[in-house]
Amino acid sequence: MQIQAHPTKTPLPFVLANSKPYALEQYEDGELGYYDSETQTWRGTVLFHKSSTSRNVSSTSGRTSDSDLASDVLGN
Amino acid sequence: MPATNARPAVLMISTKLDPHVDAVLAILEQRGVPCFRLNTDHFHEEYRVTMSDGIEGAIRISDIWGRNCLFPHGLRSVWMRKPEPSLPPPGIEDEGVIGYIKDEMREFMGFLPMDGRVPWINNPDENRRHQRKFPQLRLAQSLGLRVPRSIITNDPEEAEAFFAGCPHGVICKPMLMGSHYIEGAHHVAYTRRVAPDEFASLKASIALCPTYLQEAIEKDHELRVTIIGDRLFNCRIDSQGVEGAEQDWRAVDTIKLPHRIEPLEPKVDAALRAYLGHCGLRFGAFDLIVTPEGEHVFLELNPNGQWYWVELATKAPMAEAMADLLEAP
Repeated sequence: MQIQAHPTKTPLPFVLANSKPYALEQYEDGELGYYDSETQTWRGTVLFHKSSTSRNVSSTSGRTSDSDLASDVLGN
Repeated sequence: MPATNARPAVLMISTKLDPHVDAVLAILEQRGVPCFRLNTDHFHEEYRVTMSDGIEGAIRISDIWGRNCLFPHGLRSVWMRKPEPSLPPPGIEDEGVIGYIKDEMREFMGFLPMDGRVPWINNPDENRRHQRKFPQLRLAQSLGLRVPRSIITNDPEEAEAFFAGCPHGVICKPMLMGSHYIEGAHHVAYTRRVAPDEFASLKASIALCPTYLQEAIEKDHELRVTIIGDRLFNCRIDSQGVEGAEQDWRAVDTIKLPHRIEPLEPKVDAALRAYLGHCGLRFGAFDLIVTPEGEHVFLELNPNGQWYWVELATKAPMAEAMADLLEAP
């Protein structure tokens, strides 16, 4: 089996050795819909916090949802 | 202490992009149960909070659209869904100042779960306690569930001995966060099977960090079991026929995997309910493997796991169950 070396100079802990880059999708403000303050709900595309790394999103404010307050992958 | 609403409200703490809250809030509003949504990602722009001193310890929260809520006296429950750090207040760009505001905000938010006068679904302090993976395995085992043989070590020799003792292979996974930055780029570490030659080439790196290794369990399919109050939703996920999902179904666009609600073996059903009861949690999302022989193997509890994608995939009435729980906790 061919080992896929991580393309980095940083020595990596074992678990991170084959971690994959996120395919982060970026959206412009308003592109996904809008927050309806009347109903307190999102109007537009149904998007999970991070639905998966293949369909990851940044917030409409252009900030990723990475956080130590929140689990960050669908399922967690 | 006067309440802000005639009927006690549900406080939902999350972000603007959270379909779980959208779904549950719509149901509760339809039932006439007032809800106050606190989106922490836009806290500074859209909310005002005041915490008074004195024995009442009340916190007034209002939004810029004219809604108010009084914590905890005006509330019937708090749903701590998925809060995030706030964007900085408009005009603040200095990283140090942003860091200070973020820390103070985190401290303020930390006061709320210390108040047990209102039911929490779930209290984040309890979630933090019960999300620890190794203690989870101990508890599951004590309740009669099979768990994978596991080791956490930063000793390469210990890891090698463990590897040698697992004839069906070994998987590795992070203990806490799947996502991280490497040289500035956002990465994710999924659960992965470690081949012998990969182990040999990376063995020395075990010394860099306590490393979580588990015996690989052969899968027929996987289960996502979500308990909401007294209701249990057992969702079968057929991950083995989907390329890239075999070791970790989160590695693919999860919602496209075959999902099906089915009854859960009574013994396992009882054990998972007992597990949550032991933790004092009203909500939890469990991951299990079912082997080709039909044996259930406990992997982990996600005390604040996501679940709405399961409803979308299966039509199981999970948002309704959550609405029921928040309305009458």
